[in-house]
Amino acid sequence: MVQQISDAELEIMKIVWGNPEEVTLFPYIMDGLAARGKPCQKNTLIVLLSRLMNKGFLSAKKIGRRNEYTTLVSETEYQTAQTKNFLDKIYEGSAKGLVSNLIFGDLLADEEYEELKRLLEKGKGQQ
Amino acid sequence: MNVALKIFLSMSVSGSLLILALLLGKRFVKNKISRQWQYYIWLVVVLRLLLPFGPEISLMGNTYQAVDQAISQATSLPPQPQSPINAPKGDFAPWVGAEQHNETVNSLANDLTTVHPLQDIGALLINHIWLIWLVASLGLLIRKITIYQGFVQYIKAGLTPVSDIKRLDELSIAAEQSGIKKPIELCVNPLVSSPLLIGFFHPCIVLPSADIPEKDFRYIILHELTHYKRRDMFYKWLVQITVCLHWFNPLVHLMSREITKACEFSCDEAVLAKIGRGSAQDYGKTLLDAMAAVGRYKENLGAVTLSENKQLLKERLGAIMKFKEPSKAVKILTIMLTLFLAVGASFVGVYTVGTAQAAPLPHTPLDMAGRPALSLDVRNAAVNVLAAADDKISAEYNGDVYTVDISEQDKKWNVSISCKTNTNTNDETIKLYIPDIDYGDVNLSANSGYLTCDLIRSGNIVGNFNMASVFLTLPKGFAGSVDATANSGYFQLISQDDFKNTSTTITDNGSWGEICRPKNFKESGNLATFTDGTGANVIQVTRKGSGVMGIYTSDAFDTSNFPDDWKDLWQNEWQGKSWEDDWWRNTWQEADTQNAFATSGEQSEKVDAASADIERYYEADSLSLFEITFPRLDDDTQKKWLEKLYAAGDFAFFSVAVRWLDTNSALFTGFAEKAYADKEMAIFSTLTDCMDEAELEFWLDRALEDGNGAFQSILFAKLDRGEELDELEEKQEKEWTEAQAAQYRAVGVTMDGKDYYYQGQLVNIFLDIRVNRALCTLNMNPKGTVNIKIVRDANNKITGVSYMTEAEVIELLGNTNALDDKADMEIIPVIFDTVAAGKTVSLGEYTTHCPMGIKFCMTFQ
Repeated sequence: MVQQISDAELEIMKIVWGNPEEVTLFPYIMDGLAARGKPCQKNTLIVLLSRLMNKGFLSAKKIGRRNEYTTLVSETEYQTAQTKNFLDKIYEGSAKGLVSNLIFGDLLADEEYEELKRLLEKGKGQQ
Repeated sequence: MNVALKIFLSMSVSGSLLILALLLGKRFVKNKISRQWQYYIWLVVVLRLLLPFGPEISLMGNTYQAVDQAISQATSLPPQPQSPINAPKGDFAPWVGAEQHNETVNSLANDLTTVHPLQDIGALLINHIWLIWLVASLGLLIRKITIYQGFVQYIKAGLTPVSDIKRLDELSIAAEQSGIKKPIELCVNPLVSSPLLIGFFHPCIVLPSADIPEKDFRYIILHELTHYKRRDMFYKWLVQITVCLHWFNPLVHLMSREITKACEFSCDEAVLAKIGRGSAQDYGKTLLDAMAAVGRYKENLGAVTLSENKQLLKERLGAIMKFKEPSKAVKILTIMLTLFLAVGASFVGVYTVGTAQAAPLPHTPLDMAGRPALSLDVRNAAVNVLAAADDKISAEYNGDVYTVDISEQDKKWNVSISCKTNTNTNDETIKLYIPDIDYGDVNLSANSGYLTCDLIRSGNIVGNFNMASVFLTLPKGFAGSVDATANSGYFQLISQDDFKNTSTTITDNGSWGEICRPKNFKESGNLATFTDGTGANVIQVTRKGSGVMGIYTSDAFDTSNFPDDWKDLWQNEWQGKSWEDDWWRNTWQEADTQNAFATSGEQSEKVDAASADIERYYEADSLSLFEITFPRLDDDTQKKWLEKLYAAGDFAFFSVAVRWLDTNSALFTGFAEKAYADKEMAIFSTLTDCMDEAELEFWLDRALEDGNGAFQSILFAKLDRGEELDELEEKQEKEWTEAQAAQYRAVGVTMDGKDYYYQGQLVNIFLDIRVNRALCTLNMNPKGTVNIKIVRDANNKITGVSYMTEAEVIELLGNTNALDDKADMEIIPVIFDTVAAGKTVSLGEYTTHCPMGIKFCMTFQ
C-alpha cells in the first residue's frame, strides 16, 4: 500500500526519481529544489526526508557523515497507486468513466487521442 | 533503622531547609533577579535532595546523632519494667547500656513477641520502613512514566505533519539561530489545547492547528525551541524523579510546582530577551490566545507546554510586562545569593557520610577494627620503606631537594613525599621508617619515582603507580589484599609465600611491554589467575600503558623465569657479565646510598654512567629501560638525546623521553615549535599527549590562523572537538570550490551541478592539472560533446582553456582505464618537497564506498 505524501514531499521524490544515479545525495536534492524555484532550509529538508523514510518511500544508507538515499517506490508505482486512488474516489473504480470524461470533456489533444487509440489497439492485440 | 534510609531522610530534611530558604527569599527578590537564576537555583536544591555527599562535619550529622539515640532508647527501654526476669538492678543495667549503642534492637523485641505484640509491630515497622518507602517511590515513578507514555501515544495518534515549506523553513531558521543543530519536527494535532514539545531525542513541536497567524507562530516556536535548547524536559524529569523519591515530603511537592512555574517564567524571559522588550505585549497576546481552550488532557506532566494554567498565566503576563534587562547591582546580588546557597547546601550536609565510607570492602577477610591506616604518596622521589624502631613514622632525606609531610589523625597516617625541583634524577634514596605492625587500609601511590616496600605483612593495599618503578614484596604470612594498577614504568610484586592462600588475578591492559609471571598461573586472554588454599587474600594487579611488570614467587627472581632474550641481552650486550639477581633493583639503590653525600665529581660520574647506559639501551632497542634511565640524565644530555631522536624521526623513543619534560620548559616548547614548523606530525602528536587543554587550545588557534589543516585535525581530535573540524573542513571546501568555480567562469567555463559547460556546450572531459601536478580535477560526463583542459602558467594562474587533442584524450583514458572504474577514481593531493627514505607519511583518512575495493596508483616526481 503506497501512502499519501504531501506536495513538498512529492517535490523531493520527483528530484530523486529524476536522478540518473543509483543513489542520491543530500546536496543534489538541495540544489534540485533550488533549481525548481523552491529552495528550503537544510533542516527542513532533513525533516521532510525523514518523513519520506518513515512512509517507506526512501531508504538511507549512512556513509561516514553523509546519507545516500535510494528510492523504495518507483515513480510508476506511485503514479499507478495515485491513479487508482483517484479512480476509486471520483469514478468509483471505473476506468471507463475516466477515459470517457477525458474524451468528451475535450481534455485530450488530437495527437494524444490518436496515440491513446493506438495503445488501445495494441493492448487488445496482446490480450 | 536502616543506614541508607537514614542518609536519605537527612537529605530530605536538609533539602527542605533549602526549599524553605528559597521560598522565603523569593518574596524579596521576585521581580529583581533574573528569572533564569530563579529557575536554575532550584537545581542546587534538587542535587542536595539527590546526592548523598557533603562535608564530614555538618548540621545534619550532629542532629542525627541525637535522634539516633532517642530512637534506640525508645525501642529498648519500655520492656525493662515488665521484664520477666526479676534480675537485680545492677545486673540489668549493662544490658540497657549495650542496647543504646547497638542498633540490632529487634533481636530483643523478637524474644518478647508474645508479651508485647504492639512493641514488636513498632520495631518491625521501623526496621522495614525503607521497604515501604522504596515501593511507594517505585510505584509513583512507574505511574508517572505510564501517564506520560499514554499522553505521548494520545498525541502521536492524531499527528499530522505540517508540510508547508515556509513554516518549516521558519522553524529551521529559528532553530539555527537558537543554536539547535538537530532537525525539529513540526506537527499538528487538533486534540492538544496549546502548543507543546514532545520527545527527548526526536523533538517535535505539536500545534493545536496549522492555522496560526505568522507572528504567533514565531513566538510559539521560539518559546518551544527555548525549552528544547535548555533541555527543560530533562530538568523536569529530574524533578519528577526527586518528587517520587521524596514523596513523603510535602515541601518537595511544593518545590516541583515552583520549578514548573519558574521554568515558564525563565523561558518567557529568554524569549523576550531575544525578541526585544517592544514585543512583550504581542507575546503576551499569543499566550492568551494559546490559552483559549486548555484542560482537555493531563498535559503538564513531562511535556513542555506553552501554557500551564490560568493562575500561572496571570502571573506570567504580569512578569512579561515588567520584563527589563538586569542591572549591575542585581548581577552582583545574584552572584552573592548563588554562593550563599551553594555553601548552605553543602553545609546542611548529609548524615553518616563517614559510615558509608567505612563500609567493609568486598573480599576483605581481615578484621580491620582498630587498625591504623597508611597513605603514602610519592612524587619524583626514590623512597625505600624500612621498619622503624618505635611506633612513629619518620624519614631521612635531603631537605634541600625533597619535601616530606607526615601527619597523623585518628589512626590514619598520611605521608606525602615530593621533589622541590622539576628535574629530579632520583639521586638520593629517601629512607622512610614506618612501624612494623598490622595495618588496615594502605594506600600507595607513586608518580615518576621509585618505591621499595617489603614490610607490610597485613593490610589492604591499594596501589596506583604511574611512570614509576615500584618494588613491592609481600612478606611471609601476609594477610590482606592487594589491588595495584601500574601505568607504564616498572612494577614488581614478590610473594615470599609463593601466593599461598591467595586468589590472584593479573590483568594486562597495557600496550607496549610485558608481564613476567610464575609458570603455574593460568592464562586466558589478557588475564592470568592463580588460586591457592583458602583464596582469602585477594590480589589484583593491572598493567596499563607501556611498561614492564614482574610477578614473582619467593625463589623466583632469578634466571629461571626472567625472559631468556632479556638475559641474553644482559649478558652479551649490556653488562658483559653473567646474570645477577636483583640487578636493576640493586644498581640504583647501591648507587644512591653511595651518593647520598656525594661530591660533585661523583655526581657527574653517575650521570656519565647513566648516559652510557642509555646509549646501550637505545642500541638494544629497549624502550622501557630507556624510559627508566632517561630522567637520570642531566639537562644537557636529555636535550642532546631529544635532538638526536627528533632528527632520526624515532618517535617511539622520543615519546617516552618527552614524558619526563615539564610542558612549560623551554625545551618542550622548543620542540613543539620545531615540530610545528617542520610539519612533523607524528612528533607533534606525541607532544600533544603531554599538553593540557590550554596549551592545546593555544596551538589550535595557531593552526587555525595558519590554515594548517593537518595539525588542526590532530588538535581537534585531542580536544575532542571533531565535529568542529568537520564543519570547518566543509566550509573551507565550499569556499575553495566557489573560488575555483569563479576562476573557471573567468575563462568561459561554467558549472551546473556536476556538469561543466564551455561556450554553451556540455563538456565531455574536463581536465585541470595544476602546475607540479599537486592537484588535478577531472570530470567526465558521457553526454558531453567537447573535451577541454584548463591551461595554467608557471605560477598556477589560469590563462585560458584549450580543446584536448585526440592523443591527450587517449593518454588520459589509457591511464584511467588502468583503474577499474574511472568514475570512482579519487585523486588524493600530496604536497611534500622531500620525504626521507623509510619515513611514514600520513595522507589523511578517507572513506570508500567503492565495492571493488581500493587500488593505489602513485606517481612520484
